[in-house]
Amino acid sequence: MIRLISGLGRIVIEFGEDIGQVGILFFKAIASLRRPPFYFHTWFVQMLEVGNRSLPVVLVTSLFSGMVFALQSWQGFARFGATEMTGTVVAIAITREMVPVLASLMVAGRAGSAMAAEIGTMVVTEQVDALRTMGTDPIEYLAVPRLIATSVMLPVVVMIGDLVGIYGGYLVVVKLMGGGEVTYWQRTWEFLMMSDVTSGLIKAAVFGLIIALFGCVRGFNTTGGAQGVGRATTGAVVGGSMGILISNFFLTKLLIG
Amino acid sequence: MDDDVFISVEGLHKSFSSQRVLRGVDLSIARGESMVVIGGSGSGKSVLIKHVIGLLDPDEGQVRVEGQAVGELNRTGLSDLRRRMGMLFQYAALFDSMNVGENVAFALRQHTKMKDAEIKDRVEEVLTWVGLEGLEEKWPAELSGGMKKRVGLARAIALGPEIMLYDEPTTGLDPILADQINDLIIDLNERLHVTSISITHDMVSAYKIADRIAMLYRGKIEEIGTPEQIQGSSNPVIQQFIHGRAEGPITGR
Ligand SMILES: Nc1ncnc2c1ncn2[C@@H]1O[C@H](COP(=O)(O)OP(=O)(O)OP(=O)(O)O)[C@@H](O)[C@H]1O
Ligand SMILES: [Mg+2]
Repeated sequence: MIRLISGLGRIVIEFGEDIGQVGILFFKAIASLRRPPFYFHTWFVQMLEVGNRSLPVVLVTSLFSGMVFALQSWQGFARFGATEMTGTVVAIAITREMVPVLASLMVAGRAGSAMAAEIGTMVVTEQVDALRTMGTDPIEYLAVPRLIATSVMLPVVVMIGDLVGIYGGYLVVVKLMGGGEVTYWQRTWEFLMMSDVTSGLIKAAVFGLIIALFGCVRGFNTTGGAQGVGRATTGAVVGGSMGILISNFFLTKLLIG
Repeated sequence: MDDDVFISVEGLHKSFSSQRVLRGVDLSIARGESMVVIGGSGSGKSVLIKHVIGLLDPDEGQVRVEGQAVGELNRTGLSDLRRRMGMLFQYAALFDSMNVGENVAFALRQHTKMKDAEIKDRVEEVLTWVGLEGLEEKWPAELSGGMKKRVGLARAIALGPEIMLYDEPTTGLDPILADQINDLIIDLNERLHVTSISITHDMVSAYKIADRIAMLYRGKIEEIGTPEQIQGSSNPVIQQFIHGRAEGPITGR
């Protein structure tokens, strides 16, 4: 029990420390965007990297989230004979909440951890120092491309995830439960608002930023050897995930208005 | 030796948590001079040169280059200064996401407007200097320790620095290669008037490349002098170190 509490305490303290550094890195990155050099090629490479790493897991996550959510809603609506509303609820829940959050959590595990590992390895092998001695700013060269890549690519993969999630709902409702195909699509498009989708995409962009910020902060703070890199990696995933879940509340509040 | 002080280390102190590594290092290096720093493993030699290029900030004291304190430079000042310096890292610190050619070309691409063909020629040239011609396409993971070291050296000199910091340039090389690297260092000093600080445990190399040798001991410069003066020093600490004896004041035996 004491172990549990102290473990929890440590996570909270580490998260608090990270927040400060995340803020500093964020402002340094913004500042560096106001003057050259810009490593556009590296930005592009990182975007591909993030896209490649996250698309497969996001597709699977979205498909099954859509399916499960459709199954649950169908059961719920069946209690008062409103199963034809399933399509609507699936579409709203998928686009506003489920895909942005779940996909981002998955990407934190895939891309955020990889960033911490890459940068952490570069720190412990003095490659980051070598960059500095050659007059290259590690923030511009390593952090900025990653921040840009995740905040641009997450909305893209979430957009695709939205479609796949809604399609998952369709599979369950129409193919599994025998709901009407026309009704499903009608109910989906009739009530789905542009703002449902855009609010989810805005969230995705912010979550992407958070993932990369934690990945980079943990990477740059790596000390020790391989063990330190391991700690940085898990730290990036834990920090990024907490950041996503906590900021999600405030973002939702903000976006609902 | 002329009095034109180029780099001066003044009362440099540095601790890591409770461990006091540097405890008031004073050292001045003239323009074009080749300074060699010797000292036991863990005595703080690498820490010392990292202060010269601003990778570490002093707790107390400072390093000045042309009178300007490195620790007080702003971003652009520091970045400009670093372009005039090259550093060979003790463990080479090659970028493992880039092949040898890209490693060596890195600073050229970042800081010059050289065309691809010119960069290619320059990379070829410096790789030849370190005896690694034609290895552009190799990856750092495919190289031996000594080869990595030489790629690191090629990368550090590619931009044609005025100041070179060598952290154990000959460690891990066979005696013949080591001597070739010694010649390269001497060549850079003599022909291109590079000012250099080299760290080494290799006394043969130290005598050969040094204008002056300084020994770092217990966080301070124990003694400084020409290779002849060091060899003829009556200081038992120096004598024990340069002759590599297990018995003496350093080991307390
Ligand atoms: N970044 C750091 N954090 C904590 N301690 C450090 C750091 N860098 C160096 N030290 C400590 O400072 C001391 C001196 O290290 P340094 O690398 O300068 O030794 P050195 O003289 O270069 O030794 P060697 O000849 O073995 O390379 C060591 O005890 C090392 O543990
Ligand atoms: Mg060292």
